[in-house]
Amino acid sequence: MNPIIEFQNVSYSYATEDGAESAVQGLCFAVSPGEFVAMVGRNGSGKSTAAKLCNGLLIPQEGRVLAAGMDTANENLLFEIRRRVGMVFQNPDNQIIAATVEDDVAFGPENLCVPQEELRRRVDESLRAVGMYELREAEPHKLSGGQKQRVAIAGVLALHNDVIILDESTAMLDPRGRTEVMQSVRALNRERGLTVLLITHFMEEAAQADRVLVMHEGRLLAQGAPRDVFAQEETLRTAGLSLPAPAGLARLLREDFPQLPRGILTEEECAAAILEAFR
Amino acid sequence: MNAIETQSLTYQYPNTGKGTPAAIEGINLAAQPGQLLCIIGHTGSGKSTLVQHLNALLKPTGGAVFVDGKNIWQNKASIRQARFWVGLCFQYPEYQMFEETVEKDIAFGPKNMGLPGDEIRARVLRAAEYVGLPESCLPKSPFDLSGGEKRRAAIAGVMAMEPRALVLDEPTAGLDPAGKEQIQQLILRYRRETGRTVLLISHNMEEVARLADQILVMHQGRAALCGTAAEVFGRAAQLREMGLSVPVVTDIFERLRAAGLPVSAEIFTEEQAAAELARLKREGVRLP
Repeated sequence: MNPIIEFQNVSYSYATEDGAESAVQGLCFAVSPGEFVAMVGRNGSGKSTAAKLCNGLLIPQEGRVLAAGMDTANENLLFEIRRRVGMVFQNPDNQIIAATVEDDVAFGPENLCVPQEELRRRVDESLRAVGMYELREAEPHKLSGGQKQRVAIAGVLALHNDVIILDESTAMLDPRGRTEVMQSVRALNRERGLTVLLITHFMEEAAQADRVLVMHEGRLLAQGAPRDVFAQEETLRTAGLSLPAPAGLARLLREDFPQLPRGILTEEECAAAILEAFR
Repeated sequence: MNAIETQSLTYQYPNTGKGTPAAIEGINLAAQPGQLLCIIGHTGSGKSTLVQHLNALLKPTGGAVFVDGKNIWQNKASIRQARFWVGLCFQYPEYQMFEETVEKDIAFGPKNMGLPGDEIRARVLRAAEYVGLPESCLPKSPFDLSGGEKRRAAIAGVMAMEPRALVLDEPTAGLDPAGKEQIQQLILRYRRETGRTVLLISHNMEEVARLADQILVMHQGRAALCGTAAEVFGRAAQLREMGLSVPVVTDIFERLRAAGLPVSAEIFTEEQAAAELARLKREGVRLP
């Protein structure tokens, strides 16, 4: 199957006072349709630049990006690319514009001149998909952060997108809000086959993905299934990242219990491994 | 004498309808000098409303606030003093930086206090040192700093007032793991070196377990629990009912106990966990 997002040797630098600062360099990766991919890396590692390159918010200075098979450097395709590759940003207060939840979700498809009946259907369906249908008439400023982010996700879904990119969309939420957003995203991925690229600082969230990409200094340092990536403890240290908390505990315990395996992802697995060590 | 104390502190936001519950009600908080008090509770539980009372940004609709034993609403002078005695650092404080240089931004507080120039300069340098910003950062524009540096510069701005109590509202929110670690370290060091009181709002239970001398749990505007990590995290079921969690390590140890491994119920940090399991190993404990 053709990838839905493909980076071919992509480089991008930002102009600064003293010349140019490289943000991503020779980046190559692909995301398959229906995949749930997490991207991790410390601040300044190039994650957000990569996200903005996915749907033509930034255009590669070298190499190329194909989104749903379309070259993002082709200006004529940008409209279609952005419809199909939607983005949700970090700050829940910066991306809602309408006076009610349903008007906000309708904003995108309205701009595409979707007919009234179809519009209603799409708004309702999108709000149901993120569990916000009951609050469709609510005023956005009265919602919690997690609810606002789910409305933002519904706004993308209403465009009938194929890919959703979440650029640290859970960073400003409290634990409950984060759980709500992650549950919605996982359900959309599993039940509707929506492709997800999740950029996050929370290793516990990355652990829920099919595949994890580790960014470091503008390059891809490692990638693979969460279990394999989080087993590469030295690589993660190089990238300035932590382990998911259960894996972090296992690493510390390994001094006394060398038999504890690497790549532990959950509390349950960690407890089971410790119990095994005492048998 | 407590550095900060509230007695039956209650606040009802103005223009809320009859029957609307108060944002906070009957809060008795006491932080001793040099203590690190963590406040937890989910969004809307009243944490931010509570801390805005501590430096007189909000006027209680009931009860009172004392800083170093003085009622801060006694007169105009005491209100002004509270603003300097209690340094409040909001969430995402870097969004509030506005000066042309980092130095001027850090100096803003001490300048408002009417301190002489050389004293201001000395405080700026000290605060920059506490947060680990090199002197070479000071002439830069705040916009040229990285996210983590900006956050630390903004915290330095509050530290430079040298308040008797420093109040930080989610100081590590939104940072990457290395940035979080740096902020936690600087808080511990600041507290150790100055011996001043620190209040910290956090959603991160690992952070709370690691830093707190005392924990206050807010729930629906009330103080639901208050005590040491052992006293608070020992009530996992109650915390979960309030939509809060316990540290991951504590969760794992609950599972170990449930499976019959005789580990202590008072394990909240990775270091405690390692020590406890090493003890079991030394004692030759085995599961059947």
